[in-house]
Amino acid sequence: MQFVTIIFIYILSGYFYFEASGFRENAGIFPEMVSLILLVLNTIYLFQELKEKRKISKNNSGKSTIVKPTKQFYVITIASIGYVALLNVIGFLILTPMYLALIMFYLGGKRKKVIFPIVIVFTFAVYISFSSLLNISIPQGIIFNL
Amino acid sequence: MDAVFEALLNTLGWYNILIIFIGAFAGIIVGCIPGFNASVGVALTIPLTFSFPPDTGLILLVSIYAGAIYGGSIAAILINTPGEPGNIITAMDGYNMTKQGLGSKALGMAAIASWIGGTISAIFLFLVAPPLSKITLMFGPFEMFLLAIFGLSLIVGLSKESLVKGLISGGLGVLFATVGIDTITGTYRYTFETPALYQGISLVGLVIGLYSLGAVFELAETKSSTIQTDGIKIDRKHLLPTWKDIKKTYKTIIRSGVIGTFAGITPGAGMSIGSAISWDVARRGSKNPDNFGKGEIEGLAASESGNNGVVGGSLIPLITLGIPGNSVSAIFLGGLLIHGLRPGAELFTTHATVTYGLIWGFVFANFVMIIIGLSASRFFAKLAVIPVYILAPLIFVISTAGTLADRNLIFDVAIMLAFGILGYFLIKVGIPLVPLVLGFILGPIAESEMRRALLITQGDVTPYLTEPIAILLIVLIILSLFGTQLKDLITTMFGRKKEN
Repeated sequence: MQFVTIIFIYILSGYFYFEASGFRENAGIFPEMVSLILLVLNTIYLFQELKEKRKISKNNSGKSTIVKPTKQFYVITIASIGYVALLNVIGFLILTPMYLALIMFYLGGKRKKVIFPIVIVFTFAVYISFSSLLNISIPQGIIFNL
Repeated sequence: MDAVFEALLNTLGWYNILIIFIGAFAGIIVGCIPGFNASVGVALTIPLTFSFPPDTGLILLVSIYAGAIYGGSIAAILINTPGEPGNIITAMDGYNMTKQGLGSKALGMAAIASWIGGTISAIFLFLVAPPLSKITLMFGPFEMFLLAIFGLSLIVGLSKESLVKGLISGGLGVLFATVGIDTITGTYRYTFETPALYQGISLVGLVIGLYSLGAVFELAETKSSTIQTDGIKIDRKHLLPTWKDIKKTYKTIIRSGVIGTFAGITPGAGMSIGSAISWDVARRGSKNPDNFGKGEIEGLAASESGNNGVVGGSLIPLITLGIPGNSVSAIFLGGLLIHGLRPGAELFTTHATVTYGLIWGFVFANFVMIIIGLSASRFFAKLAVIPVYILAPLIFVISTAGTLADRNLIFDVAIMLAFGILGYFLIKVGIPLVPLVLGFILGPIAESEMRRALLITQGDVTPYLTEPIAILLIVLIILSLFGTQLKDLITTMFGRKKEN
């Protein structure tokens, strides 16, 4: 996981650096400077991690302290990506109760009598608070816009 | 002085008083719930403040901040679950008091000590902040650039994991802040021809993603479904401490409020250190030091007064120099900038009414906090045991609505989600998030000041390096980043000399 992070930082700062070199006037000077510093720091971080890995394998002291992402993380992430992608299409009032119920049951909720009222009341409470009281436009979806 | 009274009258308006009540109430709820904390509360509230004038918006933020710190003590006392890191010390004496059947008294003392500690820090805010803000008038663009870097270096230097990881986090934040149209040349930077990115990455999306979604993932991964509170009874009759308790603890409360304020002023020290030092000083000066940690009311009072003192203390360097002392004030700085308020002397001249309104708001929030705290502790205690399967998805939905409130763009919600995932992985590998947020907030200030400075001298930095303030700031940056290493080096050198 550390090495995935290191590769990600290399790609990100490398992209920022090369892109900045094409900016006109001096618009690229600051991002160039920061991404260069980041590339150097990331290299130090890489060496630190390699040293740590060597130490662990030398001592046979077993595992790294880093905990891998759990199944819950992946499920919630996928469900949340779906929720965000469909929010404008289906709308807040329909999609939110579906999302809430799905995650609540997945995380161990069993009692429908508890979950459904919470889901419905909460959805309406958020909708009314944001749209009516704070004048914030909450996605209506295609159905409500017909 | 006129601005102080004008702000007082403005804060005493029914609308602002209502906002203080709502903010303190919501803050206490946020503080009560394990996994939720002041950072999440303030981050989620920033988008809501767009609907209000700047003074009201900031009053709401400061009320949430103050309420959350006190709220953390309720869960710490009743169920041994500190809602905030600053309540860890509180739990030692508070929970033991609950087990001895003194839960009501512990809650009452926590409310009183929090109120006094917070009020002491507010007095310091009034006295210290205005003269301190005048220092910034002596700063040119290069000094302002160094000041922004200094603010970032303080947080990075205190990264518990490693200096390199802290610097990487800060660097990432600064880099993300460069996205959008460059304000000086009008160049489109990293926008991928996406209109939503022309104004840059949404601060609200970034902060809510890192903090609130982080809380969602953390809750989803917890093994326990909830914490039981069987057998805890809160007797409303005994909520107020006796005269004997007050007599025993008043000196400790006042002293701890002052200690907490100074801990707040010191960047990076934070609630935990404020309450720990206060508790330790109280223990050393006590007639019964052995009782501390076993249910001693004086220990509880010291800890609570200390961590609430940190709140006002942390606002001093924030509003005067733009240096946030902890993660909550870093997010708070974002709230100030969103409302077009830049820390420094201007806050006490052009925007004096708004700034003093914020301080008055903090004073009244502390007062409201004690009223709510004493009257609704039983209710708040129940919040701490909401099952995680309910809490986690609800936080996600509130986060989504909160992010939409910023610019009403689904794109920002996607940004929030992306930063939530990024934050999750960064935490897993031990890269702290606070420097990233701070880098994102201070990055644009650092860039614009640096380029202004270079424009004045046509790209030459050397004239600035002879300026005393610039030299002082460079020394401070080096010390804040490498202070520990330098100390070790000096100790080693002197140790060798002694041996020889």
